[in-house]
Amino acid sequence: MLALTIPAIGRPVDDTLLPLPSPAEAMASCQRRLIEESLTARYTDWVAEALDDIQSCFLITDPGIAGHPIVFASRGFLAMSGYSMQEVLGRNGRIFQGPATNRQSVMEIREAIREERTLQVSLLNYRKDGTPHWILFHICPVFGADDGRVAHFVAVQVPIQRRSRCSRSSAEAMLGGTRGRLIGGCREEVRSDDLGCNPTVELFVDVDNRGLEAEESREASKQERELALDAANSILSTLTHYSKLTGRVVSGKRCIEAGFSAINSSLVMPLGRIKESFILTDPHLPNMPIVYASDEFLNLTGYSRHEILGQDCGFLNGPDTDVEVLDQVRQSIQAEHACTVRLLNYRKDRSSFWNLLHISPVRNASGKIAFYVSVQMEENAKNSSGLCLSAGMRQLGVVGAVKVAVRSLCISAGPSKPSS
Amino acid sequence: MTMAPVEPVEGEFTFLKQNMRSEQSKSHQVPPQCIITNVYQLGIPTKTDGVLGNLPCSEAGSPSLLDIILLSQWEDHAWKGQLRFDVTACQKKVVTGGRKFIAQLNENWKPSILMDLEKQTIQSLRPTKLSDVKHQRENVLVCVSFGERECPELVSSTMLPKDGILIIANAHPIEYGHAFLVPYDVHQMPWLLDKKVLGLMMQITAEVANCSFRVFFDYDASISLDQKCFQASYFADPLPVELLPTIPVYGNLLTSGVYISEVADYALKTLIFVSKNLKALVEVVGEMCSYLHDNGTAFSLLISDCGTKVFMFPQVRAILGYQLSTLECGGYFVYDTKSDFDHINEADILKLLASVSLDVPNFETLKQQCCVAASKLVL
Repeated sequence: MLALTIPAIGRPVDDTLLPLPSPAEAMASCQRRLIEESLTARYTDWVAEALDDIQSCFLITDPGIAGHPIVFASRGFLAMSGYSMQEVLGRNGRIFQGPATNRQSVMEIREAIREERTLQVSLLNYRKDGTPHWILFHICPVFGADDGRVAHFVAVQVPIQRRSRCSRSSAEAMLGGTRGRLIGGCREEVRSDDLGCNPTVELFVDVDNRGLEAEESREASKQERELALDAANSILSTLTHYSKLTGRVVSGKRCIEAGFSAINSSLVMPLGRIKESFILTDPHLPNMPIVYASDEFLNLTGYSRHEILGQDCGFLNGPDTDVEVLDQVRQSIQAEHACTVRLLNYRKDRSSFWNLLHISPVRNASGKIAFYVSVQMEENAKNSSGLCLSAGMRQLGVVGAVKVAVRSLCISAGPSKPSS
Repeated sequence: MTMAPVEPVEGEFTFLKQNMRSEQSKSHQVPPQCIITNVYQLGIPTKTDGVLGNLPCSEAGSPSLLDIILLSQWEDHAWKGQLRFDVTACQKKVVTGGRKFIAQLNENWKPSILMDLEKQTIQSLRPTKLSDVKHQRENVLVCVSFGERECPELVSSTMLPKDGILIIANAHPIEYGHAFLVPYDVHQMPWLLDKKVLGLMMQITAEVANCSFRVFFDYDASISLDQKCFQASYFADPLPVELLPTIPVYGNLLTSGVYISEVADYALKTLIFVSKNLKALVEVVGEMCSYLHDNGTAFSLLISDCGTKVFMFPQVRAILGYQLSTLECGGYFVYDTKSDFDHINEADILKLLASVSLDVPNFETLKQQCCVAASKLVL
């Protein structure tokens, strides 16, 4: 698909660019090539130069490559963070988080990425030397016009200037104790899963916590917010411009024809909490396409999100899937009833598994069916939740949690209208 | 071609139900081994200054054990048709106006149903009649009891623990997961306003650790307490009162452990108690419940925010002798006719709320009492 001779983007890069310690050399070099070609394949070789002309601090990441790696870092970003290009390419953005990074903000970013939407959030990041600094993190997706999928994410970072303590609201001051506990809780988590191998960060824990007591969080000013938005827009227009040269056009907005209406954003948080394999399908669209899929569903089936959103569930079936059972499911849906079946399903790699499937209609605040939820339990699979509950209980627990979330008035009903 | 056998997934609850059915058909003296109940054993709070110890206290992570148990058991009941109607098919709307009151149309719902059910449920749980609980066991979702381990766990028990809280599905629900929380003790009738019971309710809310989950309690001075119980339900949206600005009354979370405030500019005078320290919160709220009880004042309690926040709605007897339920106090109204639902307006609701509100001098006295109760607190 791509010419292998295309040079890496950014500054001249040699073969030692990416520190990939994996023993699987072949995989590593494949991954490296994907990262190198991520921008050039869509925006030509010249895009790097154009991006370098933009003065802001920003990163570009590719969600289509395993690990969602950084594929470009601006000069401004490298200067601010103290890292070199070689040290950040191919890495995940979480390497800049540290012990006092607010877990909640990190979760918000993850949700935004998962839901492919723009987000601005204050974040405490760490430089290479371990010193923390407050930034306004502005992330936005770049959609391919041809397929409506996210080609890249642009992450702009604007340093937040320190302001006097007086500006903090009294409510914030009151909750200071709470925030302190939260950070205490995060530190261990972050340290163990993301930064266990970084001794510099450990050294700075006490130092930066002293600073943090005086300043639990920094809010970005209106000016800083606008700065971030402007930067994101100029990066987007650069990318759009160069994408036209390859014919693989991108845009900051998802094309309506290519995509489909995803679920309401107020559903994202409550659904994201549910750590089981499930999908939501929309019965009001032709073929009942999938409008939401949990991470666990993707893990179970091996598909990535953009491959299945907007598709009907047929791809799970295969040659030995029982047609009668499928028919039973269809009848239940037609009758607007819940049903539980045992069905042979297939993963992306065509390996099969027995799926203990429960499907139930889910009603919104108006009392109308908004979705069907399908909860998949792989038969005899290890219980990953860590809770000693039967598969049936976990399954119905998902249905209950989804039903509660979808009943929210934020989703369907606006201001009251006298019903006809 | 492999033929997949068509069979429903068998969960523990199916098994439980079968046992209940078989139990019902038998005589009064049922061998105990035939009865299997889900018993959720609470963890022992670790000694960290009385703070909620190892309780989740927020919904940061994935759903808790108790949350999944309640949701799955309720869904199981709903699916098997043990509830009278599908409450998720009831229409809800936001009432036009700045207050964003919530109205629900529930044509199966009668205001008196709740009281009758409470009566039935509670009376069957009197110590002398505990054996009669069996006809209620059909609707028991889970029994919450005291455990001996640090972490909570679910066990299937052949016998009900000697004391605990039965969580019983309300077959006429107001929202998803609507249940009665009935404290019982084989030796004595528990006093509902006891701090121990109040503490358990807050601990349950904390262990469910789902911001949609709320526990509520209506105390009417004219009705004997042994006909009342706590209730709980899941509400995806906050009740309107929860979104209103507040005015500080006492303390702050950093120094005093309990922060008391009043809801600003609300037709019904309302107090809010906030603390991460369950013991302190129970102490102050319990003290205030006793105070209102001693004064013959009716009130409602709403426990929200994973057990860290309690709303207290004191009420005077309205001209019609009508007491508002906790949900109504919070701005959530259920109508059983379409015309009432369609014609409800904010002005009428505000009038209704104002009609049961304490007047300013009485509310000032109550606030002073709160400060006294909170200042007596030894942390």
